[in-house]
Amino acid sequence: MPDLNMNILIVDDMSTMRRIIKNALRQLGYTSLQEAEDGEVGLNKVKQGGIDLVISDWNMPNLDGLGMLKAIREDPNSKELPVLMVTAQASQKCVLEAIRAGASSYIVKPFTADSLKGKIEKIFQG
Amino acid sequence: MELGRSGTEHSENDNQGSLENRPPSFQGFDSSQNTDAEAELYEEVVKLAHFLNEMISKIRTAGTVMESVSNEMNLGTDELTEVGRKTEEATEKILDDSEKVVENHTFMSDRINKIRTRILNEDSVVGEALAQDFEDLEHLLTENKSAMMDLVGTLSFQDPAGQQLRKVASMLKVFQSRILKMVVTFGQRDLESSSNEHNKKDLLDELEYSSDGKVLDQDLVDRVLKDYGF
Repeated sequence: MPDLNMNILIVDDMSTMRRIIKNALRQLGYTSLQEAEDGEVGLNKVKQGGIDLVISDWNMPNLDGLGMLKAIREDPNSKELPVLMVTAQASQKCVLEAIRAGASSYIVKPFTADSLKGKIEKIFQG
Repeated sequence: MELGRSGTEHSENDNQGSLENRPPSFQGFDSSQNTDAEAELYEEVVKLAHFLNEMISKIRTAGTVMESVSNEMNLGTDELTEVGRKTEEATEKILDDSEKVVENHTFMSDRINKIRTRILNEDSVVGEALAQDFEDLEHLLTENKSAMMDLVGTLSFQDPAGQQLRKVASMLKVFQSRILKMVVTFGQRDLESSSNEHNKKDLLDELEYSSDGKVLDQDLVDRVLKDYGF
């Protein structure tokens, strides 16, 4: 069971989507939630430290989810940080691309709270 | 004296005279064959000219229709954008309500537990008799919570749906720009007499660049239409 007090960063350019994910996480019991509106802002927050899990969208302005993921993996300080992609990109090609770039797991929108719960638990089971 | 395929009468001298003016590649051929070929070629060129004239006339007529189609596409794009906006608005409203339901759920669960404890403390017989009822209530609340969690997650349909809408709107814009280009190219109004022809060419180039899979700027469309007299 993952620590319900861990710091989770939600990265999505749509405020509604950030709110949906935050709601789902709160209902799952997670309380420490941060937000970023694109990959660039998200990456800066990761660099500041203290983030335990990143949940990120793919399509975003400035720096997209995949770009942010690659940057996180290239940085020795964050290369092990779990990153869960929650995106509308449902093609096999995209899933493989994200996995190759180092995504810890992948959820296609629309998602259920159960699938979100299951993926987070699996990431922290190692 | 012989008749060409077109039925035109030619004399031997005529043929000789025209032969001198022909390019070297024509010389050395049988003159009667050349006359036939010339007549045939002339006929074809005339037919082609008529055809082109007819086509241009038809395209000019179609220009009005295309212009109207282009305007309707613009409306279609606006409507798609509006659908996206309203979906987002509705999603926010559902989120507001779901947050309230979850808040109430937490409150009810807490109250039920307090009542159960109080009854058990005051009258264990009654408390035990109501135990099943309390369990049923807890079970219902848990079910509701689970349904609410799914409902909130399902609201994420809004992102892929919005992306699809934007894609269709973008395709419509591309299509609209192509139609506009056709209208402008074939049905141009007062283009020859225009003093800012160069500016119009720039606009057309910009239109071509913008239609290359990107969302077309409505201001650009309006500028092109205005400059071309639409």
